[in-house]
Order: sequence, then structure tokens, then C-alpha cells
Amino acid sequence: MSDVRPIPVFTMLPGAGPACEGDDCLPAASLPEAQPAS
Amino acid sequence: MTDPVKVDVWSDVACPWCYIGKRKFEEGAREAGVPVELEYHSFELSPDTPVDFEGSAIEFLSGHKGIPLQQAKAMTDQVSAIAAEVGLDYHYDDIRHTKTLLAHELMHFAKAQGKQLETAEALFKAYFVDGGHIGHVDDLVAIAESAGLDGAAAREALTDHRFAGDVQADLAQAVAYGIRGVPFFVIDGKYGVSGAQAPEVFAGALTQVAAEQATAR
Repeated sequence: MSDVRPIPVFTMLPGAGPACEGDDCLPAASLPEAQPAS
Repeated sequence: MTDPVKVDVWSDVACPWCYIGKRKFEEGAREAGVPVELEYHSFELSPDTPVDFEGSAIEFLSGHKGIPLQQAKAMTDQVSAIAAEVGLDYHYDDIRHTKTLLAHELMHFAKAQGKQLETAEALFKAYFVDGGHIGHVDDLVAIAESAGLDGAAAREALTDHRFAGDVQADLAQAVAYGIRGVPFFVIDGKYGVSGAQAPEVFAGALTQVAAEQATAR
């Protein structure tokens, strides 16, 4: 698209907070743990 | 008088971290004591979601990840607990999962009317707190009116898809910037902040930019 601005030189601040990427919005810590085989 | 610091944020209404991040950013801006000009940009997390998805957000999550409902509920409870820490009362059981494209068109209409921040808050609250639907024109008009917008004008803009091109431009800009997840903040066009980081991170960045602007004057 013609009105897209050029890619700026971002300085990314360190770290990353929780975010949604695609349908995935849950923190890694909340992913279910594997159940031990019985 | 200090010039406001421009902050662009890419966000989706259906993103729980975007509402939480909004609160954290607001707290950071208060801590910094720096005037801010905040502009929301569209990001569509789940373009394939039907407008009339039958079921709750928890049911969608369960089906999407192939996990039992109880497990999906436990995961959303964790997000709700974090939301509560910033004063947000998420009701995942009541969320009406839907496509957010039209809500983004409303955000652009609201921007043109100078009411974008009020509209963002109203949309997030409708979706995460009140169990409102944000995929249909009628519901969005009601939300627009609650944010102080003219309902008839909002209806016309949404029906005509007057701002569809602006939404697509935002989505294209996000791709050009390499933004893969939201919320994503760009402060003064120079500093990128990924995710719902702590208020101190936003406060530090805003303070730094304000100092840089003062030095440059």
C-alpha cells in the first residue's frame, strides 16, 4: 500500500510483556502440564 | 509547555493483554507525568473468526487448542486474575467471541471524530467486562453512542465501510514494522515496547523521550 511508512529503526526496549500472537493469548506459564502416563 | 509524546499502539479489541496493557501504559504515563498523544492502530489477531461464532471464548479456546473446557477455563482464570490486578473485571464466561474487523472500522471513525480513546475503552469494556457483542453494526452503534459519538453517523460509516481502507493500511503497516504480537507500542517513532509490560517500563521510556525532546529544542 502506498501510504505505508518506511520501516523505522526502532530501539526495542528490553524484555517483553505478555501479548497475543495469532489466536494464542495465554502466558506460557498457564499452558497445561503433561499428565504422567498411568 | 511540554509537547506531548506521540505513542502509536497496535492492538486488537479481542486481545486480553491489550486492555491490561492499556491500563499499565496509563499508569506509566501518570507516573512519568508526561503529556501523551496516544493513537490506536488496527491489528486483527484472528481474521478467520466468524462474526457469529456460536459459543463462548472459553469454548473457542477449548476447540482451538483441543483441550477440555475445564482446562481452558483454568487458563482464562489466570488471565482474569492478572486483569484484576490492574482493576479490570474480566468475565470470560460471558465473552462473545467474534471477528473484530468492524470494531476496528469504528475505531477509525472515532479517531476522525476525536473520540478514539473513549471508544477504545468502551469496546474493551463491552467485550471483556460486559459480555457485549462487538461484531454487528447495531451493537457497535450502541457502543459508539456510549463513547459520545453520533450514532447515526457511526452507523452510516460502518454500513458504508468508509474506514475499511484505513484498517487495511494499519494492518499493512504492522506487517512492515514486523509486528507479530499485540499490544505493541511505538513511542515517538523510536522506541518499541512489546507486550503488556510493567508501568515502570512505559514511564521510563516516556521520561526519556520527553528529556530528549527538551534537549533538542
